[in-house]
Amino acid sequence: MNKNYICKIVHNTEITAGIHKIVIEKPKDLGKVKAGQFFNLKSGEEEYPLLRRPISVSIIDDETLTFLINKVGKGTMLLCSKNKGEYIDILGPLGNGFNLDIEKNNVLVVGGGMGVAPLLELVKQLSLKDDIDIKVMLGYSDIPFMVEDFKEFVDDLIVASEKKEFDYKGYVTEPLKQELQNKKYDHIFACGPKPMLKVVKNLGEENDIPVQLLMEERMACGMGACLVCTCKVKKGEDDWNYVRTCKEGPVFYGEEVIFDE
Amino acid sequence: MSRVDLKVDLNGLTLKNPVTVASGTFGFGREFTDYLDLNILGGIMVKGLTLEERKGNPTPRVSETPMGMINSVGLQNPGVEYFVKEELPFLKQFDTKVIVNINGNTIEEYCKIAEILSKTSVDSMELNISCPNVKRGGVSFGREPEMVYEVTNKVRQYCDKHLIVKLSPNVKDIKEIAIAAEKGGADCISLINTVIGMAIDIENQTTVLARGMGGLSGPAIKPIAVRMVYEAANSVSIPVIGMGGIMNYRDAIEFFLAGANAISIGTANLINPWVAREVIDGIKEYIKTKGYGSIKEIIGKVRIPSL
Ligand SMILES: Cc1cc2nc3c(=O)[nH]c(=O)nc-3n(C[C@H](O)[C@H](O)[C@H](O)COP(=O)(O)OP(=O)(O)OC[C@H]3O[C@@H](n4cnc5c(N)ncnc54)[C@H](O)[C@@H]3O)c2cc1C
Ligand SMILES: Cc1cc2nc3c(=O)[nH]c(=O)nc-3n(C[C@H](O)[C@H](O)[C@H](O)COP(=O)(O)O)c2cc1C
Ligand code: FES
Repeated sequence: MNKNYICKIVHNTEITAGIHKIVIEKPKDLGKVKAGQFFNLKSGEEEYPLLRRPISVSIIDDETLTFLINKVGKGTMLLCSKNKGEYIDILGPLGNGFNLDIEKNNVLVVGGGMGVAPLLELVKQLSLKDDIDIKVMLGYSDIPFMVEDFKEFVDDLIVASEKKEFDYKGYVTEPLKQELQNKKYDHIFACGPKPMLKVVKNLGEENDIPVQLLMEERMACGMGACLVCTCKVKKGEDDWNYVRTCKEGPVFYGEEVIFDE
Repeated sequence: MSRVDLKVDLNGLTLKNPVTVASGTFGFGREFTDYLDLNILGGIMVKGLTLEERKGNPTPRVSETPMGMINSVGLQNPGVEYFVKEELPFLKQFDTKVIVNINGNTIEEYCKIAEILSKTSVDSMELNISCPNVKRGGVSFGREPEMVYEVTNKVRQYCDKHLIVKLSPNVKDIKEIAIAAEKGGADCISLINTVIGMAIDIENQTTVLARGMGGLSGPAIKPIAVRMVYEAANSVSIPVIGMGGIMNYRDAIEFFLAGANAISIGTANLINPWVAREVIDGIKEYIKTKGYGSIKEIIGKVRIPSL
């Protein structure tokens, strides 16, 4: 019944400037956690900061859960300043997670910036399927991170960076367009900044490929109670609706989502 | 040790304990069953309903502020008919009072909802008068005593249930507003609703919320809420439900001492969904430790040292 746990930190390292990898002990009675689900983490010790912070699970192991956290404000700073041996109060798993029940197996996984974090567990799980062909495309604004982690599960991987010369210089959506012209894919999974997701959605539609997008929205409860985290989705032929990113999402099919300008 | 009597009578609505959960922070209860036994609650104030479905405001709808949050959900809800059909049966399974928060842009809308709900098994209605009155150029119904009296009085004629009027803190004098609600026929008042606020993103030089302004809730508003509950409770003879920033039992006790007969937990549910259980246990313990037998003994007990 309970979904709240106080977990011991077993590992905390800064993997690249400003980004920490935090590994916590997995509670014994935690139910199944799916790739694409998230936890709502308390960042302070007492009541400040007030709200929890939603963070995707990046790797799920038998004994541990791994989060990748980018220090962007007070909450994430506090989380990253916690030491090994200290505890974090977590709520979850929350949200729907990716749908891995896909029929055909030519799969493209596209990540941008911090959006690569939740894709690692996804790629791990996809790589366990039979007859699967996975290509991973990771985009960064500057120095890439977590690339080696992905290489543990896939060989076919390209890295794009806006600043540095890796496989491609510029937005990851450019080599993505190229790739979709070269090969027929059956499914795309993506997580990253909204403008990137919008391009991926459109490319999916143009090429008639189902796309699963992991969306971010500002949240409070993370569990479907307050309605602050809505995502605009299609409803029937010509109507739309706001649904909860934390409950009906955070993973949506590209064809459902309406991106407003 | 003797038992502690937590029962409170809100002028026609008896709660087994004085702890309720505030409208808009508890959905229709479903999401909380993973964390809390809903049977332990004194009452549940469900998400604000309107006559027709409302889609609500664009995002961002939330901004965290020091010890608070500003929201602009915009009363997203599936409409009263849907609630009665799909959500009420679920809530009625539990041994707790179902209090329905009702909203409208016109007095007619409020009355219509009250009429519909009077024919159902809901236990009480909470009239949210913070809504914009379209006929008065969008000024909230809760702003002027005359408007509060008018809307309460009209709704009273259609409401066959216990009626709570929920006051907005965005007013000149809360005492006058409380009196107007009492005169209009409210069985009980609840306060405070959120305090209007705004947050600005200095990088983009835009407001954080898509809609500009929103309602501030959480510990940041607690001192305002305690003061207003104190003032309101001392101006009317009907019972008062106090809320605003209650995070734990100590906060709740402040409200009882200020004059609240019951309390409601809002924002805290969004952080610790089981918090109501801790508050109930804490209140019980406080009553015992202080040597009282019932919650009623501490209501309005606060002394102002210099008076
Ligand atoms: C479903 C989901 C999964 C996420 N997964 C990760 C992850 O794996 N790794 C990671 O580093 N970050 C992730 N984020 C983003 C992360 O939640 C925010 O960066 C974080 O909340 C910022 O908090 P802060 O106190 O450091 O920043 P502040 O700017 O001080 O935060 C102020 C408020 O805004 C909210 N906020 C600010 N930025 C965001 C944002 N981008 N998304 C949602 N809320 C925000 C905060 O939660 C807080 O309530 C995820 C967000 C969502 C919605
Ligand atoms: C996300 C959110 C939604 C709310 N929705 C409603 C609502 O629909 N009707 C209403 O009367 N009050 C609504 N409120 C106000 C609360 O019921 C409560 O009066 C207020 O938040 C103060 O209590 P708190 O500080 O404990 O949250 C809402 C508050 C929040 C935070
Ligand atoms: S964050 Fe509260 S409903 Fe999604």
